[in-house]
Amino acid sequence: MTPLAVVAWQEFRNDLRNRWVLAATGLLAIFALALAFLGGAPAGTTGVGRIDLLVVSLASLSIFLIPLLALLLSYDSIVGEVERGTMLLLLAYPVSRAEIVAGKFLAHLGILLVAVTVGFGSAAAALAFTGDAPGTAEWAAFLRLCITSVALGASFLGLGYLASTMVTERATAAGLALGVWLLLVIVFDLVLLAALVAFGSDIPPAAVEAALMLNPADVFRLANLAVGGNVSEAAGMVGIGAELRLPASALNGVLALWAILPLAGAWLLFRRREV
Amino acid sequence: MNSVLSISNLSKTYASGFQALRNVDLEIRRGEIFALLGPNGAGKTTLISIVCGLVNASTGRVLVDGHDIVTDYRAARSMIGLVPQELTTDAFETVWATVSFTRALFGKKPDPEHIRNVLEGLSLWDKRDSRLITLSGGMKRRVMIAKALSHEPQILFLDEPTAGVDVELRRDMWDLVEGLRKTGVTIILTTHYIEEAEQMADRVGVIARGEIILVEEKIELMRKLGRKQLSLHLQKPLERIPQSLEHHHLELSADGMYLIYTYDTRAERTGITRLLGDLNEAGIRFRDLHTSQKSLEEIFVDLVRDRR
Ligand SMILES: Nc1ncnc2c1ncn2[C@@H]1O[C@H](COP(=O)(O)OP(=O)(O)O)[C@@H](O)[C@H]1O
Ligand SMILES: [Mg+2]
Repeated sequence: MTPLAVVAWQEFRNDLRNRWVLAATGLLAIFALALAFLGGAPAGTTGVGRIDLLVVSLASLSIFLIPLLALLLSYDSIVGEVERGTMLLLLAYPVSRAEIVAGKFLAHLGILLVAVTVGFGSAAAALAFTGDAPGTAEWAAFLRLCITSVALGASFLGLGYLASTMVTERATAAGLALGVWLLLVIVFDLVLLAALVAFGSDIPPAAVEAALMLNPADVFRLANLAVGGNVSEAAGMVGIGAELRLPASALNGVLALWAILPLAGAWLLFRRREV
Repeated sequence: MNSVLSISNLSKTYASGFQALRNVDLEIRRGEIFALLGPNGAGKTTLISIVCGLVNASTGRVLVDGHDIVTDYRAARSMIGLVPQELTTDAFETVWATVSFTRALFGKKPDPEHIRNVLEGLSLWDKRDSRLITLSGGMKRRVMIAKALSHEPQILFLDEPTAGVDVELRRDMWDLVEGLRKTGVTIILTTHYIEEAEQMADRVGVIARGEIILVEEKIELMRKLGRKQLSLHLQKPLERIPQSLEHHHLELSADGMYLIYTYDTRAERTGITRLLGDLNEAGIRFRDLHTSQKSLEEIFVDLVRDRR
């Protein structure tokens, strides 16, 4: 095993012992299954497929739980080890700081992947076994949901590392992480909505679009709900989707940037930090 | 190359503005046991931390077997094992796992045989499947040592190895150091106990207030540290020391009431008998006398003053 792999493997083992992480993952799975069974009821006359509905509801679930899970994983990964003193030894080993950050990121990404696969996978399986087999296009939307969920998680992992690298106490990092979650997952959209209600047509769509790109949770939402086709119909977002001119590939690109930039920032900060 | 660790002009000023090291120059010989002796806050841990890459130096250069610790850090750190002053362990891992992981972090191939030898040498073999959180403080310290030895380092740093450690572990530590010396490992330990430096080291460096004050063969240093003072409270003050007593190198206190004689407790003759005889002959009477040994702290202070 290379040192990078050892760092990742050790971190992964540690995370599996973290009760909060297990709880968040369990919550994701339970909600996903519940949504699958609720969605199993007749969908009425909308003509929307059941898996489309599932994707829409799971995406809303993702927006809340995936950032939470990611921040739970990441907020103490630097400052926690500094506080416990284990970082001290790690830095005395022939391991670069980039390898330490990357190793932790890989491990956390692995946890997210497991959570998404188990949570969403079981929901999809439940659906597939209880009704007609969904078509390829529907599966594609589902796969997109899984991949973008992990990307969403990655961006909040990076934000969590940033919080963890900036502070000297775990409690402060936890507070920061909670703040990030509230701000990006709840407050941001409320403020945007309030602005739209207040100024309505005075705000050009491009400005709204730009504002949405500043929040990875919104980029994720758009990438899954506003890409046209059945899913956006189910989400009732056809109106907004028509106004938004960003193609799916651009949304994917922005989400990818969001997955990478906070991580890179955390690495730059960590490089300079003295423990 | 004779020195395995070469430190030149090393200084460290912490972000707080506090200067913890001042122009430290130090050469450690291959295979020796070197004790860095100094009071708390002298800069011992800072010095070790810089060599091990935990703290960045402000100025200066460190070579580990020719490898620069900054530009060639992988090669430099691969040679080093560090047992830090404080206990730091991943609470939930087993002894075996944590020691094996450490070896892997050094990029070394697994070697269960070596790990077994290390654990047995530290009386940890029976505990190999225990989680660290269940171990006592002494056992955890043994694990720290095992981790430091897991990758077969050439240089072992022991930061305050016996501070707060039970007698048994202290004895094991000394045995271990002796055993490692035989295999050619260079050992650098820090301590604020003279006895510990005396017991373990070949050479001793004294550090105070961030400066290396002297580096000496242990035997030579112990001779200096073994000095005692005899002070004689005189019945009548003296104006100056009589010529007949000059060869005793006495000091006279400012008020002329005390004569101070410095001698070596380890020398074959302390010269006290001769001194008392000579005093008697010179007609100098005293009403009291007492001896005192300088504390390490005082010796440090003297040494620092001598250098300025
Ligand atoms: N991170 C730090 N920031 C500021 N001062 C520090 C820091 N670490 C140590 N010091 C100070 O540097 C001095 C030397 O500390 P240290 O190297 O730990 O001494 P020793 O190990 O000899 O007891 C002490 O006065 C200590 O307070
Ligand atoms: Mg110290």
